[in-house]
Amino acid sequence: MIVLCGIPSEPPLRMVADAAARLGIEAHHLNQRDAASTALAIDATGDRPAFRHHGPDGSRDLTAASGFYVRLVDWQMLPEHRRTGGMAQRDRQRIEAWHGLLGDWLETTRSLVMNRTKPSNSNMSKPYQAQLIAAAGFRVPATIVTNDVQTVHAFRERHRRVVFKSISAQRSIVTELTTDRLHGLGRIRMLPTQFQELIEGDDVRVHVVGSELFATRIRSEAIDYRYAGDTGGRAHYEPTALPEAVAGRCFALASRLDLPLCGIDLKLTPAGEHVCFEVNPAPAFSSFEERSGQPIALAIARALAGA
Amino acid sequence: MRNRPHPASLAGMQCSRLEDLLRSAQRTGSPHGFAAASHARQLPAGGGIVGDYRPWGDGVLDGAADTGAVLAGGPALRLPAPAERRRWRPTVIGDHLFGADPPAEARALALVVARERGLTFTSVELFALDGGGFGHGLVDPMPALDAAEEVEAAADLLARALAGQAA
Repeated sequence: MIVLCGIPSEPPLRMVADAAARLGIEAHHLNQRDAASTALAIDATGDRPAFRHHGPDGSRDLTAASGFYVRLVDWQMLPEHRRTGGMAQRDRQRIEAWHGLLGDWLETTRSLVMNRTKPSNSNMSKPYQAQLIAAAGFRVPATIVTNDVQTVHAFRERHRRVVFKSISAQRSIVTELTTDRLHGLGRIRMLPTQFQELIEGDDVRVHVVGSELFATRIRSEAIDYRYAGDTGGRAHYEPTALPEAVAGRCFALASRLDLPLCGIDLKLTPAGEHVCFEVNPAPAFSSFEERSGQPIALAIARALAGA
Repeated sequence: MRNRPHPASLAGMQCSRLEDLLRSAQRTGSPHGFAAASHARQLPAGGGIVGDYRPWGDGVLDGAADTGAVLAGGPALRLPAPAERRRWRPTVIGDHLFGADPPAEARALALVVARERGLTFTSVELFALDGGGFGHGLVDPMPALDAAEEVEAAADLLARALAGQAA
């Protein structure tokens, strides 16, 4: 049995559930939207813990689950909670207890977890994570984090083309610092910002799933291919193969970060070098699978089941 | 010193006393620990184990929970009266403990826990288990130094780390 944690209709979770069904693997949902009406508990039989999910349909022992797929969102951001503008104290306590105990279990169980919270936190700081990426053998783009305008000018002078992006895991649109954007540069005095040399070439998203790897090449004219449509551009996704050494580096990086599932963002330069930007610990692989046809969800279900 | 800051610290992630309790129970196979870690999550924030760990006895699910009925605050546990337990909170600096003198097995547990977390400077909550052996609670990566000998040991450790870097 595998356990799927999150909102069942969310595309990655739904695709893994579908894949598990196709493989004949039993999947149990821990639906965040049921947190107020179901309960989680740990009790013990002898010296062994039992992790149970109690609900209207009975009690389910999840201790023997071989793997957990985690797509939890901040429950306070769910529309039903934001809309009501407040909830009964008892419901709030139940929901907090549900998420708290689930988090405790995921951090301590010996089952495979894709992914635990603590290792995922390396993505909270891109400069921090970049050091780990470099230590794994990848070249990372020249980077500065600054609120000093003159430093940015000097950096841009040196690298000619420069992009800026968020420092944390907060999603931002990667944007080139073109001449017509320089007039707004003074705003960084109030907000240290990350600037990187622009690396030319095609993007390659690598999904590491346990011992499997899927590389997708994205051809796009946009600086940030995820938002190509917003600027009238296009992005074409296709499966690609990585040189053996680069694939090995990806596995080593995933292992070093303790992320059995991750999305590694590479750029393939015209000279044939793979430069690494960052590692996403909660990759929304669904959009890549839908566009490239690569069977990522099946690989996740198989890995979780230990198959 | 190897207490390196982590991005999670900036993102507001805190060390969790409750997770540490469960980790301790997993390590020792303590039924009391499992029951305590589970029950602690069912209490209102700021109450119970968050402020004061009590090593409850065996947790037994109420009959109502066995039927799948949903209870306020989660499945209820019948809790025996709390028993007094021996507890310590030593400061770990390098390979030495300060501020408390637990039995050798508990001292070894504190050092193992600190080493596993990559912490050379920490305090570890230790307690005796019902069936023998020891468990640990919160592992604090930013302990207060209360005694002159602790300050001296921390300074020595820092000096050695700096000398190592210089070499």
